[in-house]
Amino acid sequence: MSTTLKHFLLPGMIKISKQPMEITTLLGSCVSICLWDSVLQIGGINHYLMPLWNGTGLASPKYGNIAIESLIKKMISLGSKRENLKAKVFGGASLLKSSEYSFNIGERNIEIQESVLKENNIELVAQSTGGKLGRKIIFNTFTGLVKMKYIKQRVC
Amino acid sequence: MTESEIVELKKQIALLKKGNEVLNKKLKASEGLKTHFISNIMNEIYNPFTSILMMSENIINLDKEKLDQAYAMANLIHSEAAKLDFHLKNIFAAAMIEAGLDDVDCKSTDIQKLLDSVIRTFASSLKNKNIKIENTSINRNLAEVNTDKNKISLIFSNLISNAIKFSNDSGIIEVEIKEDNSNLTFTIKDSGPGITDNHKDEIFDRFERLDDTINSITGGNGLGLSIVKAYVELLNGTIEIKNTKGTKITIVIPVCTAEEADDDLFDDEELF
Repeated sequence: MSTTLKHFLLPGMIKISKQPMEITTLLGSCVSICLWDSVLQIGGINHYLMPLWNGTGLASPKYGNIAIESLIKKMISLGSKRENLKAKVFGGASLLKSSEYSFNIGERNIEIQESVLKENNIELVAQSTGGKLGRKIIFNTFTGLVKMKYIKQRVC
Repeated sequence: MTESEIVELKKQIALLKKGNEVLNKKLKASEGLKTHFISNIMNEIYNPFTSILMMSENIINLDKEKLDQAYAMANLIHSEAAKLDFHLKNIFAAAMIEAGLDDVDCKSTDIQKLLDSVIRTFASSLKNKNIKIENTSINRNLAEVNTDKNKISLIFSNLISNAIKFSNDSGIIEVEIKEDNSNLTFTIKDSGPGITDNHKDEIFDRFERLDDTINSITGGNGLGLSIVKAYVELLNGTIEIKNTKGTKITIVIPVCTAEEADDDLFDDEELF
């Protein structure tokens, strides 16, 4: 029987673990960044809904700019070195027809991760973003591997 | 580029410009709000704490036979400590939300009992303004529901605290809870001046105070409703605000269902 811890990550949250953990999340136009430290073999993941905090509500990791910086800081607080961190990015689908929403949130969520990861010199090693379908991912914080499948249900 | 594309682009530019203006306004207000928050939090925490210290000292110095006076002061200490507890819970809740470390913890909850216990914590504030809370729920014996008790409790506390703040003296606050189609609906209506349509969204902003003059009287740290909004979103719920001779806020929260099965073996998975 597997002893790996399991966690279901909700939108707007961050999960990091020193213990091997399988973290599952569901993504529509939202984006998740899985950060993995190849030396310490630890990882963390966020799940953001919108690209930038605009001063509305709390400055939470619901917003990409806050979620990414916060995830990086949390990994560093666990002893990771920036140069050992590898990023994998998922989500950012366009679930709505362009006529339903003029500013594509999914695309903007993908764009923000590109700029923030670049700013922080974090290598992007894999991604599955965009498209019209939602995704379910399971991130293994010990191996850094991410299992992904497309889903039809409407998720954020 | 076609004509319709140009029109669409112009529409998007106009929206961006508007968004930019709003952002700019918020940035300008940001520094002022922070200062206001710090001075307010000093009052909200320091005042109850000073009262607790003074009254407990009074009890220590009381003659041993004056038990009734000690009892009255203990009541005041309890009410001041409850205020402190409420403000600290809000500060910690906001910190947890902003750190992204919060989670939903569902358990079977007697929701009417929970509401009654939250209302009791505001007994002294209600007495001070001679405000009555009327529970208009049709069914007062709701079955226990599966929900995040602590989050619902803080949502109730903040909405009730807000309703007390903005209700006129001797006013009535109406609360109602119902459960249908696996949704929990909580409605609260105060007897205050109401809120204008263009302020409806702003009240959920962090540190937001729509009117500094009113807020200097009503107090509060400006975090409460932003926490309510964040918690309602976390619980997949919705908030609606209406003006009906006072402010009427309705929140609808789906009861927790079993989490998605952890089927870690996908049949059509891709590996990254």
